[in-house]
Amino acid sequence: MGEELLRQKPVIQVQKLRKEYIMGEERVVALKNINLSINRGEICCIFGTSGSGKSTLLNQLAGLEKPTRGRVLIGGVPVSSLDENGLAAFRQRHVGFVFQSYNLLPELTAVENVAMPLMFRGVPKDIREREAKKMLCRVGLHNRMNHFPGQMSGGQQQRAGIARAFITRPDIVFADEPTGNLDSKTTKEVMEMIRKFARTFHQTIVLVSHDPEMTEYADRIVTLVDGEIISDVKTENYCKGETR
Amino acid sequence: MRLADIGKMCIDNLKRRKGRTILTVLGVFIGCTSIVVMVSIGAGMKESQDKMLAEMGDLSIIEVSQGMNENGTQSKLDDAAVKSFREMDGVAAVMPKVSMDEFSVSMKAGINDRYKCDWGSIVGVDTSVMADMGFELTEGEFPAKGLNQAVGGQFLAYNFVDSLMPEGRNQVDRWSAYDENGKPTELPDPFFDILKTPITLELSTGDTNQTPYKKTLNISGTLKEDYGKGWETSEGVIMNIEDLKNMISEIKGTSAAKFSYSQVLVKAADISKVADIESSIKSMGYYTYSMQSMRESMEKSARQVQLMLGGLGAISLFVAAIGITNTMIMSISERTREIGIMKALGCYVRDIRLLFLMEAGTIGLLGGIIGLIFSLLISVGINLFAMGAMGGGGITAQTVLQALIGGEEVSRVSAISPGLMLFAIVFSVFVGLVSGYYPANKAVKIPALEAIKHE
Repeated sequence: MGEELLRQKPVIQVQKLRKEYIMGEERVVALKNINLSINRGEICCIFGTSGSGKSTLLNQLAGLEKPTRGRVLIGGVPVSSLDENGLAAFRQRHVGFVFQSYNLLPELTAVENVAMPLMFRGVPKDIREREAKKMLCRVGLHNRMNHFPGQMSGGQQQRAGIARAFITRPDIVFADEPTGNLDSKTTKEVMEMIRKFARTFHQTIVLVSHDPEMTEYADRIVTLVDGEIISDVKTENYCKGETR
Repeated sequence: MRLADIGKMCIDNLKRRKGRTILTVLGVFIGCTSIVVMVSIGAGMKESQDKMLAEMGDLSIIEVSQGMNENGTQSKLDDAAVKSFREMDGVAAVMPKVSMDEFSVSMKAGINDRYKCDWGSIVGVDTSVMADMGFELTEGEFPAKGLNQAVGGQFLAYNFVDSLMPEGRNQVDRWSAYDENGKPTELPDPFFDILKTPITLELSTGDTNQTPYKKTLNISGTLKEDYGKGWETSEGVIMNIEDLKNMISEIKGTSAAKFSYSQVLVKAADISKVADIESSIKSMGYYTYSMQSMRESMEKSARQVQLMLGGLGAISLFVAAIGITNTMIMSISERTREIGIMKALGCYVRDIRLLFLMEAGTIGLLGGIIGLIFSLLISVGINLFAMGAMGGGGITAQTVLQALIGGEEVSRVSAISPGLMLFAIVFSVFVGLVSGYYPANKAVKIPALEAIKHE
């Protein structure tokens, strides 16, 4: 049906994107001229060394920063020109985040942390916490519901972070070095989990990493060097047709 | 976000940094207490002033006496003047008064004129409008015309001396027992019941060759003392103006064709009209006196004192406001990342602003509530001390209640009205919100990007 069509359509479009920073007297060009299109349901890894501009690109895609030139369209909406309120509404509806340092609020329990995006939407407490508990069960934290982040291991915290990112069933989840602080075993668990969620709900994942291991979980790898895309390849996963 | 969720977050955040919150609340509490206590002392001053004025007399009466015109001639208080006062807007009643100041008066009463009074103040008024003018009786009734009746002042009887008693014991001192406010606690009985004893007036022109003119009057009632209506209400005799006029013509042997009144009382329909009426009578060239004009000047000075005291208190609340701002700015710089995360997860800017305003407002509210409770305790303490309860009377539930809400027979140093209580709370919250405004806007400007920065 229409859903099929929607899936084909690129959900993220980057057009002639340029980002410069002023550092003291000098002007640093972080992104030169990026053109990129990511389809719905893709797991896209933006790969590069530190200083390659990959984090800057993620910030642009997620609307966390304004570009110097060019624009970013998500589902046809130019996020680069939305105001604060528009961005907040947009993030509530379409975007989830997984952070490298988990970013759980230390004085909230796991359930409260996971329920937070729903709280911002104005969902009543009992409903959002029921939903959060379901999500925590899915990520295997059923016995950590009322623990505070300080009482959980890194892997557990990141799983709670994933639960939080997916609780609103967002169209796109941005993950910034999601496994940067985790060991390889936990990395595998966490990435499998992200992939499972994405496949189940046909969600698009934009993953930023400098870890070559990540490429295993991606459908597509966009490599950035000095603010330019030097390669854009589809992996076996993609070829296997797992996406479609 | 739901308001309840913002509220819970706000409370959680305040609890998180308990020490700092308590110290900031302490600042507001001290500021609020000093304002409330200062203002309450001003209010207490005003309260005792009002009480004093109310005891002194009717505020709606203007006394008019002869004065100078613009062109230097005497403005006469005659029937024409009385008529023009009566026609003024807002005047409820006009009462001309004739006095017998030109005669020397003495009074006698009792069997064989046992009780004597060497002086007396006798005035004549239109006795039929006395009730309209607001004269109040403590006993008896107003005098009728032509029946040789009169009303006495409340304390007239105490002026009489018992001629059969030796010096020193021949008078009843009505001031024999009084409290520290100068009010008599217990009135001793006078020598005789003035309502049942006819009084003989002796009037003379000062010419010793002439035998004094005598007139016997029955006192039909006694008036309640009210200086706003003339001193006669306390110790004088008031009779019907026509009877008095006839009396004067009998003494002088002339007809009472043209009379000039010694004084005219004008009663305003409403206290708010008093100032207008008074100024227009003044402009006609008369001297006027009213309790209202006195009250206005007293109120003005009380207001000034109250403002000054309140201003002193406001300084400490201002310092507290700076404390709130400081606390909020610190809290925000600590929570930069948290705010960034909230924004990245889709929290609206207005919710973040509301959250920080609420935190600042809550600090104000807590300080206000504690400050108010403390102020009430201080106020009751001061009042109990002033009422002398500490010294002798002891503290009972009744004295505490009187110290708190006031009462007929107590004068308070510090008065906290419900309005002041409400003001204290509302103002403290307002101070909190104003202090939190700048930090809240600072919080709002923190970008969502903060969430992504690596430590």
